[in-house]
Amino acid sequence: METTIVTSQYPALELKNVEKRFENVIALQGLSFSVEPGAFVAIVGPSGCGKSTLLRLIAGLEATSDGEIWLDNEDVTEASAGERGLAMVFQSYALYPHKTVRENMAFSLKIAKRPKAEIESRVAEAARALQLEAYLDRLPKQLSGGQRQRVAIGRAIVRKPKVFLFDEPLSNLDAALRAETRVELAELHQRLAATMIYVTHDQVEAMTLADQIIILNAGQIQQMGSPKELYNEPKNAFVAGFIGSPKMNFVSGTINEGVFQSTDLSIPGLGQTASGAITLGVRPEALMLADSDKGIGQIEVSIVEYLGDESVIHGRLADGTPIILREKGGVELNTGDRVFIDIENVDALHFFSPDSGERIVRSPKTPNKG
Amino acid sequence: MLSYSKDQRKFVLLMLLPAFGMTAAFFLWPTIYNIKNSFTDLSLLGLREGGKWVGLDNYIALFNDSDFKKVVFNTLFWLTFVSVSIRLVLGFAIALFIESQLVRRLRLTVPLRMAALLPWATPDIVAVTVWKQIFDGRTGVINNKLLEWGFIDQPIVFLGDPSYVWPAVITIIVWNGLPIIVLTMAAALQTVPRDLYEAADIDGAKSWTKFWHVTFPHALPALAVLGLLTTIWTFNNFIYVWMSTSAGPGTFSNVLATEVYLQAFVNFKLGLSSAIGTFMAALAMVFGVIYFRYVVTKRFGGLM
Ligand SMILES: Nc1ncnc2c1ncn2[C@@H]1O[C@H](COP(=O)(O)OP(=O)(O)OP(=O)(O)O)[C@@H](O)[C@H]1O
Ligand SMILES: [Mg+2]
Repeated sequence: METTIVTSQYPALELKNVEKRFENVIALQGLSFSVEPGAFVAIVGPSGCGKSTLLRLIAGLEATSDGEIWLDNEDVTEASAGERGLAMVFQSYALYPHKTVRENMAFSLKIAKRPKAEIESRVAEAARALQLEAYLDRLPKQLSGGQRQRVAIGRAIVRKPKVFLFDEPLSNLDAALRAETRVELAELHQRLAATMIYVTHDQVEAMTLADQIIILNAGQIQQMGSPKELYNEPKNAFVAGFIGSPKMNFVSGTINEGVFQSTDLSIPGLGQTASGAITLGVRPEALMLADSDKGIGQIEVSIVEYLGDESVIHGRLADGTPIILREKGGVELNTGDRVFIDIENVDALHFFSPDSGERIVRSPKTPNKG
Repeated sequence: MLSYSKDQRKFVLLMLLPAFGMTAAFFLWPTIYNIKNSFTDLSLLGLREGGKWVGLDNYIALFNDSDFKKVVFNTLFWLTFVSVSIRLVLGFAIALFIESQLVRRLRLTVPLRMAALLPWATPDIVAVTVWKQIFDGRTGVINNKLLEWGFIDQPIVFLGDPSYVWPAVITIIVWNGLPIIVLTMAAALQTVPRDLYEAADIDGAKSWTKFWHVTFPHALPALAVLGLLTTIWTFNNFIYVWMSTSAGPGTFSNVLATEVYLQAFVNFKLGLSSAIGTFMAALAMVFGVIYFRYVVTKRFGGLM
């Protein structure tokens, strides 16, 4: 688990051994992590892994079954959503349909009985930042999806919360708008210097936006770390497969005397790694086409995706293991061609225990867990 | 907007014709006949020879009659306004309770919805008959209990005592008319998106604020339609008053619908009775127009 840097300030958010059960379903288990003030933390994982539940626990919309939630050195486990002073942007936006954009944004401040002048100036400020000034007197149904999304963000901004919570805020937008809003969110985070917790199932969103990523699977944290850490040192095969696009290739084989051997691949020169059965992980971008007769093995090409600046080559080893590799520019390959592949650098290889999926570090004395 | 070619339009008109014909035969013709009669002194005993044209005499007589003013007041205030208001408020409150978190947690939502249906399954006439027994001055269960517990010394003839007759009649109407309000409002409440409550929670709203800013605006369109429908259904209802009090004691609880009956079949004045009927239709129409123009369309704009 990620250890937090001790500073004079308290973490903006800290979870201590949080658990959530729905009747007999365990949705979340043993969650502990802390978030530094001003950090942008993305929570990613496959559908149903508990991302929304985790966010709702933090927001106070759902009660924890066990464990504690702290905000800025205050135990809020028992506090109601309103008392926690967080802002949340819902996937569905959840704008009040009978209120205008202005009223939607002003609602929380009105409830908090802020002075009228302050409410007006804060709404105006948020509207300016989000280019919503022209729409202030419209109802949500008179707005496009992207505009509604900005209103939902505006409603969060006006409260000046310590922590922003986002539940897949971009998932209802089309690809172009999503990319655009992603950049706007990044800028917003810099400008406000607020802590943001961002749920998504899109690892690209997580990689581009977050300082820290939490990977969740089946209600448990698989790994928390910076995008770089997750990419370069995934703790297990799940994380390795989840981060990066296209996905990492996995080949099962054995390792002995620094040589990885599978039915079709042979990679020498790995130093004194563990020995025995092992799963090799290699990212598509770490693989390349080799001149004939060289390389670590041969694949049969099944499909080539040409993307302009690069090509993604899908193929199979003789034993059927799928292999994906990325090449710069275009390639002259057809379905059924047999080509040799090679690796750019043995340091780009990952090894995992075939049983537990845990990462096996390539250091001389690491015992084989598998 | 769909647009039709000329041929299609002809076809559409042709297809609408039977329905229009039926409507005309069963509604338009009696209406015209009734309006025509209201300008005559037609008597039930002189149907064959018909009535003599008397112009606006029937209407003038009505508006100069202070008893008739009381009938109009009874109809608009007691029968309609009070009973509709109580039904809407009480029905909405019960719907809120049935759909509340508490009831849901106790898993009583569905049984309660079923229970709310019960009065509806009871025909009006059966309901009024049973209620008459309950309210009865000698054998009624209410009087028995009140006497037994010592609240009263003398039995109260609820349906025959001017101080109690309207509350008693309204009790019957409310009991019988609540289900449609409760069930419609319960259905309306289920359509409120749950995440709006959560957004309001996060905005720091308390229960009361959530009710006014989330629940109520969503419930309003259904409440408005129910308001219109129950008003019209109650305003011209004959059964409740006639069955429970026969417009009595005396004519104390007389309303427009019973007055139409009394004038036509007790006093044999069909002409006058038709004038009252026409007056009722005009009132209902004015109400409907005002309601739709100013309440339904203006207040909740496109939400309906
Ligand atoms: N109210 C509930 N009652 C019972 N089970 C629930 C409830 N809410 C969530 N769950 C279960 O908890 C698990 C996690 O759900 P959650 O909504 O947090 O997933 P998620 O990671 O947000 O998925 P997605 O990416 O599809 O939104 C799921 O197995 C879900 O079925
Ligand atoms: Mg979710």
